[in-house]
Amino acid sequence: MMAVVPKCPICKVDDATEEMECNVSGCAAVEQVCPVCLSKFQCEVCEFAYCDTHRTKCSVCSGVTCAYCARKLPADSRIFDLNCFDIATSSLIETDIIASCPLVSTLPEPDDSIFDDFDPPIEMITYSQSKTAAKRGVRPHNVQAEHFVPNSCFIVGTGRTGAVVKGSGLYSEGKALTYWVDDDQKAGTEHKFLTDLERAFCQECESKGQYPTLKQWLDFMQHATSQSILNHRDYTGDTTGMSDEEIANVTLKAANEAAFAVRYQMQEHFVNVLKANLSAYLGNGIVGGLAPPKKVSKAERYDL
Amino acid sequence: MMVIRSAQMAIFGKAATARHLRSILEFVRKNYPAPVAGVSGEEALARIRWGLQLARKRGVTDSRAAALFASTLFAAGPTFYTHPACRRLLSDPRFHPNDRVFSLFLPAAEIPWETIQASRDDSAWQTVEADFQP
Repeated sequence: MMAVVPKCPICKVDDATEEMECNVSGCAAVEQVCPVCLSKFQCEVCEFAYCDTHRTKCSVCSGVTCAYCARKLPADSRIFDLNCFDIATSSLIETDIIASCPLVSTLPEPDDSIFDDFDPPIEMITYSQSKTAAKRGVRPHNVQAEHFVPNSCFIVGTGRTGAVVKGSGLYSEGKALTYWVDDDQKAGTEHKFLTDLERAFCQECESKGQYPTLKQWLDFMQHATSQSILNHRDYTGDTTGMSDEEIANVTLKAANEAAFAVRYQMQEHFVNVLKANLSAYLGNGIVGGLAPPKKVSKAERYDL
Repeated sequence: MMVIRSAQMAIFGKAATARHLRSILEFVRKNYPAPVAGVSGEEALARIRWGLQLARKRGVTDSRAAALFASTLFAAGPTFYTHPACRRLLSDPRFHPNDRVFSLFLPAAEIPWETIQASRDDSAWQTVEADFQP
């Protein structure tokens, strides 16, 4: 006999096939809801589900935010979500003086049309914009926004937000430029492939007690992205009349060009928008490592 | 290759610091106008410098965290950090000093800001004025 699935207590229309379990430790709130209503319980910053008690609305953007991602200034009744708090307090960040050449003089500008030569095409978007797209239901199904350099490597301490390492300028998780990659952290997906490479790189640095610079991360990720595009996206350029070997060569060349174009946009965003210093040392947060010390010694510098 | 001497960098640094202090003052004036009403610009900047120093003495390295600490001196009083609720968070050994400051702004931390403001002791600013005579 087939078990009867109860109706969702929120919309009372769809089947309650999903379990909403509040992410606050010690909170026992659990509810069976439908997939659509489950999203109403999710914090728009961290995307975890929270019960009514541990969830509120941002006074600025009206987005749903959770007990961990909400912020409030003293003598101010407004509740901010983390992204709006970042914006409201961004004027308090001291900008670093960067004595380096402008990006345009160091990297040749790529042709971004290469992004459309792959299926799925490559789309660059900030993490916040990706969240908004998800909220409005215009983010493609089964994609996640990939931070080119892991967010946790910028954060001093644990968690996804908070103080950032010296030289990262105006960096925050939301402001970082990302691109959509296939699915979440399941085996075989583009996201998992990249995360595994990032972890391996970070693990190597951590085991040596060294800290790579932002530029070294960009160099490393350019090569990782090239591999990832080759393995997870189909080349859609014209290959008529080519042998298998020629197609493989053309695809490899296109993947390298696309990875360079991604890196170029990322670097431009870091330097020109976030005012980050390419020589800034990043932490090894993705493997639980600490942020770099105030003064990084010669032995602590990563030799790529 | 263009070379920038350390003396030239120091001048840039000075200008950047002055700009940073002015940004914090603007933030304070916008968000907490009452405590700065009647305070001269120079005095207010001296108080901000003092606040930044206090934050740095506590191990705060992030410029935004230090600036938020300094601006809270205006919002909740120059000795707000001595209130037990704030002291507990600001000395929590589990977190980096930067995160300790950010945790003050978590609604879940339930800091009784109204109570702290009601018992604010603005005479503590006199110490600052003595330390930072323009």
